[in-house]
Amino acid sequence: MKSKVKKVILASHLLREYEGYTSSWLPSLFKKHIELTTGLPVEIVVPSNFSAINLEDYFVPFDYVKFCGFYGISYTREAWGALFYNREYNEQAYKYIESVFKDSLVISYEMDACILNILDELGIPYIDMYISPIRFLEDQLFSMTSNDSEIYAKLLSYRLPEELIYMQANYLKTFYLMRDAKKIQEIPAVLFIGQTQFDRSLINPKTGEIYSILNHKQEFEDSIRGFGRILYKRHPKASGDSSVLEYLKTLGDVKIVDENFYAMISRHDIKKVIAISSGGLIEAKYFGKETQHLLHSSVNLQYGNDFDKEKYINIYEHFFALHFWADVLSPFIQTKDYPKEFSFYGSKNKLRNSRGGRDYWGYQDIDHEMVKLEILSKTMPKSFNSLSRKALRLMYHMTYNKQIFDFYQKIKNS
Amino acid sequence: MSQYFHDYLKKHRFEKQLKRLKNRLKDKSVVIYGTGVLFQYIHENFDLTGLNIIGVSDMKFSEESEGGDFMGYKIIPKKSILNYKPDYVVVAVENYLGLMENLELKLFRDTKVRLLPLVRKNFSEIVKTIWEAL
Repeated sequence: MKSKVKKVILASHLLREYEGYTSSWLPSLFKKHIELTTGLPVEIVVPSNFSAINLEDYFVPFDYVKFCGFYGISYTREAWGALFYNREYNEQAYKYIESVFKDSLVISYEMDACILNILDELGIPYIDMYISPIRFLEDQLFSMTSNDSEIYAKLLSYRLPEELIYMQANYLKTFYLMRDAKKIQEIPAVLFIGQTQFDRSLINPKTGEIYSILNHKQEFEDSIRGFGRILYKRHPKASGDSSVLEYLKTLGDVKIVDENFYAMISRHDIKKVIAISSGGLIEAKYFGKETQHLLHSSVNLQYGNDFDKEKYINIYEHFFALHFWADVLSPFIQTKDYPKEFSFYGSKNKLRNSRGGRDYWGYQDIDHEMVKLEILSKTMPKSFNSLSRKALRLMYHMTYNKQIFDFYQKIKNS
Repeated sequence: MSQYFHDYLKKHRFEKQLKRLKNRLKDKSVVIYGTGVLFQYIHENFDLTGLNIIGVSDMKFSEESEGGDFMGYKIIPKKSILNYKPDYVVVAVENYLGLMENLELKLFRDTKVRLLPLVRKNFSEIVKTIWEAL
């Protein structure tokens, strides 16, 4: 047994202003597992602005504004980007982290890299995880890492074999081949995957800048060169990307597509897929596509067997079993083991549904378990304004009359 | 690829469209916007001489390339189109709706320059595109 761990802390990203549900999701999902297997107190650390907490349990506020202040930064989204990968030593920041996390083992979700770095330097063990970018299996999976080599070795023993990912991709390709074969065009196309405006993976680790193709137009235009058709798939949660849309429209034969992502990467006419950092590129590899990250990969996945805390390990459904946590935490805690059967009997879509069914992403096309009103609503006009806009747009394209266009713009901007 | 455009233009009755376009734009000066594969195919397979094309423009043409030659047409960078005072800009891309609106908004608003697509989609396709747009 290693150094004495007196408590387990569950936490999500702490430097990002967020709605309550994302901060409460991971603690809510695994708190009982940790209590049952460790018998230790379990604390939940949340950003100090967090008022919408749904948990009845004790939680510890983390003052991210104060933390940024140690580095002389006023908290803004941009500052979050600048601080995310920061590795600069700062005595006050280190002491603050120690005061919150001392004597604990930390289990975190998408924890900010600078905090993981401080935990590591303070010798505080952690397990950090993401929802894996591979999201087309029967359930989502976690990508996990640890700064402790023994825990890391245990995580590796639960890794999902890559062959199973290829098998599922092949199954989906078959499904879409049967469904969509007649629709597919012959001209080779490149698919550009859009992302949300603010996302951890958009931060350039070298500059702290939040990457946008609008600031890197040449790189983008180089990446699409040689293709007669450019398809742009907007992120399902995209908002405020009108300037990106305007820019893309100036590039010529660009089509904005609303087709399912997996249907698209199953098509043989789409030869290349590009994105700033989207996990969709990691998925596209399993569908046999050429891929190009304009910035970097959203998550650095572990394909080998060496200990490397920067590389995350894909784990499928084992984390729902008490045995998994008893085993993984055992290098630091005298855990109580449970039989492997102490898990869900059927785990299909369990992780996917655990966030209230909000995060099916492209998988909703494959699994019809979830009928989402919000998807239906996208196909219907939300208001009279929307109807008028569409009608005026149609009139413009029937007549190309400038006055109609002006009127259309007025309604659009109203 | 050429089979694709052959079918595409046939589907949209381009020969008929071109005839009407020539009548409509008789004695008018025209800049073609969009010099990708669609325009190249049309240039190679259709007679465009009835159109008074004073130049071609595309996002890809730099300011330095102005006055150069592209498939026998004068190159006009996007930013310089208005200097040539064309009566019409004819957009030669397949999915032209958004591009035309963008050009109308950013380049030709409050000008007399009028926009038209080279290959007009049929009514149902336009309705579908507009209806499905977010």
